[in-house]
Amino acid sequence: MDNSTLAPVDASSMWRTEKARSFWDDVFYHFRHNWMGMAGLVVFILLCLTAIFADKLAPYDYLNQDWNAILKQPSAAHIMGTDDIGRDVFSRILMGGRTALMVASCITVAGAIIGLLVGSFGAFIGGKVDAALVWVVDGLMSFPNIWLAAFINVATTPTLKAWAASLYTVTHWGFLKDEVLISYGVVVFSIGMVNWAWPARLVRSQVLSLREREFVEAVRALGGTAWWITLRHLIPNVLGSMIVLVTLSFGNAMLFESSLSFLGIGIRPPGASWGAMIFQGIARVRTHPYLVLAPGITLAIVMLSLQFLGDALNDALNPRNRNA
Amino acid sequence: MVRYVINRILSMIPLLIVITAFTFVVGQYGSGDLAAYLTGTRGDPSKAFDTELYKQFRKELGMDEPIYVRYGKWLWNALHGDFGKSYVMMGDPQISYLLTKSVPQSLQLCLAALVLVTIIGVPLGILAAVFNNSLIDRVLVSSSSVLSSVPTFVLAPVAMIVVVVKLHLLPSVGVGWHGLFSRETILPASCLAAVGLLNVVRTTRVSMLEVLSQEYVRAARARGLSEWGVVTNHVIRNALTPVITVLGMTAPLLLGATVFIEQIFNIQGFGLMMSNGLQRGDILTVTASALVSTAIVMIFSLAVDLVYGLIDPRVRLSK
Repeated sequence: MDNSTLAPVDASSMWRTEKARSFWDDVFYHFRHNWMGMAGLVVFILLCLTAIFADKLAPYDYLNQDWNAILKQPSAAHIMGTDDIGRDVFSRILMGGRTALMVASCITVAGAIIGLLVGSFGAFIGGKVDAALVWVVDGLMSFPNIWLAAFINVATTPTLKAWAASLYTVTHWGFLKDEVLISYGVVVFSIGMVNWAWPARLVRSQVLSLREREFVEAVRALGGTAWWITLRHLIPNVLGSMIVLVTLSFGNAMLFESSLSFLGIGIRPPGASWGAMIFQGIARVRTHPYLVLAPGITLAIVMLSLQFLGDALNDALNPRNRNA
Repeated sequence: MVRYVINRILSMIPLLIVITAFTFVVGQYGSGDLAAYLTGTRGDPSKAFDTELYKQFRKELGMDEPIYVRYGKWLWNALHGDFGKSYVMMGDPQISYLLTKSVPQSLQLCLAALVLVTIIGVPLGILAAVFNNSLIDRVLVSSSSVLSSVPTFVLAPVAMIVVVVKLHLLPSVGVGWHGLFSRETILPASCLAAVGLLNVVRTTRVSMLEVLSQEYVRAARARGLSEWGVVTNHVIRNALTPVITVLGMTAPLLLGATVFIEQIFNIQGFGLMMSNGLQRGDILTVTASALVSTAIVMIFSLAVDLVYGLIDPRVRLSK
C-alpha cells in the first residue's frame, strides 16, 4: 500500500481536546436542565432567606396583638389579614418559616448523624447486633410514624420541662424558663427519635453492597487501608444517595413539625408555626378561609418544592435510576 | 401454609411486646405523676395538697409497685380487653369502651380510602406506563405527586372550602360518622386516599414498564396482538404483584393520617380519640391506642403477605 497518498493527520484530532465531563459536571448539567428541580431550589433558597431575615421583612411584630384589627380580611395594611387576637398573619407566616427551618435543620442533621452511625455500625459489626438493629428499624418503619413522634412528644414534655426547671435553679440561664423554646427542643427530640430510621437503612444497605463490589476488592488487593477505602471510595459512592435522602428527610421533618403543631402538641403558642396556625384557623374556616389558606398554601408550596428538589437531585445524582 | 401463618403470628409477639413495653415505660415515667394530677382535680382544689388522697390514688393506680410488675399487669389486663380508665376525659370512661366505639369507624374510613386509592391509582399508573414519557404520563405523575406532597391537614380544609363552601357539590359535613355509604364519607375518604396516591401510581407505573420490556411481551406483539390485548392479557396480571406490597405499605400511612382527617371532618373515630388523648396528655388512652394500632398494622401486613402468596405462585410461603 502506498502511504504517501494519505494526507498528513492533525494530531490534535486524534484525541478529545475538550475536557472530559466529570461526575459532578454531569450532575450539575442534569440538574440545571430540570426546571422543576430548579424551581424547587429557588423556592427553598427564598425560604431560607425569608427565614433568616424574617424579623426585618415582617411588617409587624409577630406577637403584637392589635385589638382594633381582629379577624380583618386581607387588605393593604395586612396583606394576609389578621387572626382572632389581632396578630398579622403574614408576619406570623414569616416567623413560622424560621421555626420550620430551624427545627427541620436540627432534626435532619441529628437524623443523618445517628443514621450514619447506626447504619455503618450495623453493617460493619454484622451478626446478631446487625439483625437487632434491622429489626428495630423495620419496627419503626412499620408503625404510623407520626403517632410515635406525637407519643414521644406528649410523654416526654413534662419530664423535659422538669429537667429544664431543675437545671435553671442551678444555672439561672434565662432560656431554660422559656416554654416556647423548650417545646422546640421537645419537637426536635421526638421527631429525631423516629426520623433516623431511613438514613440508617440506606447507609447499611449501601455499605453492605459496596463492600462486596469489585473495585473495593481491587483497592484492598492493592493494599488500601480501611480508612482509605472509607474516605476515598465508600463515602463518595454513598454521598449521592445521602444528599437525596437528606433533602427528602428535611421535607419530612418539616411536615412532622407542622403535623405535631397541628395536633396542638408541637410548638406551643405564642410561638409561630404553620401547623399551629392552620389548627387555630380551622374553627373559622367557613367565614375566614384565609386563616387556613395562607399558612396551608405556604406549607404546601414548600413541601412540593422540596419534593421536586429531591426528585431532581435523585435523577441527577443516581445516573442508574434515570428514566426509571 | 398453616405453619407459615403460625410462624408469622408468633414472630409478631416480640415486636408487639417491645412496642407496648416502650410506650408503657416512657408513658409512665415521662408524663408526670398521674396520682398528683388526680389529687389536684378530684380532691378539693382549695385545700393544700392532700397527702392522704395522693397516697390513696397511688395505691389505686398501683403506682407503688415496680415498673415491670405494672407493665405485666397492664399487658395481662389489656389481653383480656381491659385497658383501664381514661381519667382525663369526663366521667372516667373505660378505654376499651372508647376503642370499640371508635375503631370500626376508622377502619371503615381507611378501607374506603384504600379502595379509592386502588381503583384510581392503579388505572392511572397503567395509563402513565402505556403512554410512557408522553404528556399524559407527565401530567398524571406530577399531579399525583402534587396531591400526595400536600399535607393532609392542608388538603382537607382546602377541599372542604372548595367543594362544600364554594361549589356546594356535597352536603356540608355534619358532626360524626354517617355510615360507609353516605355522601358525607366521600370527601374525608378521598382526602385520605390522596395520601397514598403517589405511591400507588408510581409503583404501578414502574412495575408496568418493567413488564412491558420483557421478551414475552415483545413476542406477544410479534404474534400480532393489539397493544390493548397485550396490556390487558399479558402485562397487567404480571405487573400487579408489587402494587399489592405498596398497598400494604400504604395502610399504616392511611391509619396515621386519620388523626388529621377525623379532626378536620369531626368524625368520632380512632384518630380523633388519639389526638384528643395526645392534646390532653391522657397517657393511658394513648398507650392503649398504640397497642391497638400496632396490632392493626401487623394483621394487615400479614394479610398482604398471604394475598401475595395466593396470587403469585413464585412466592413460596412455607419457608
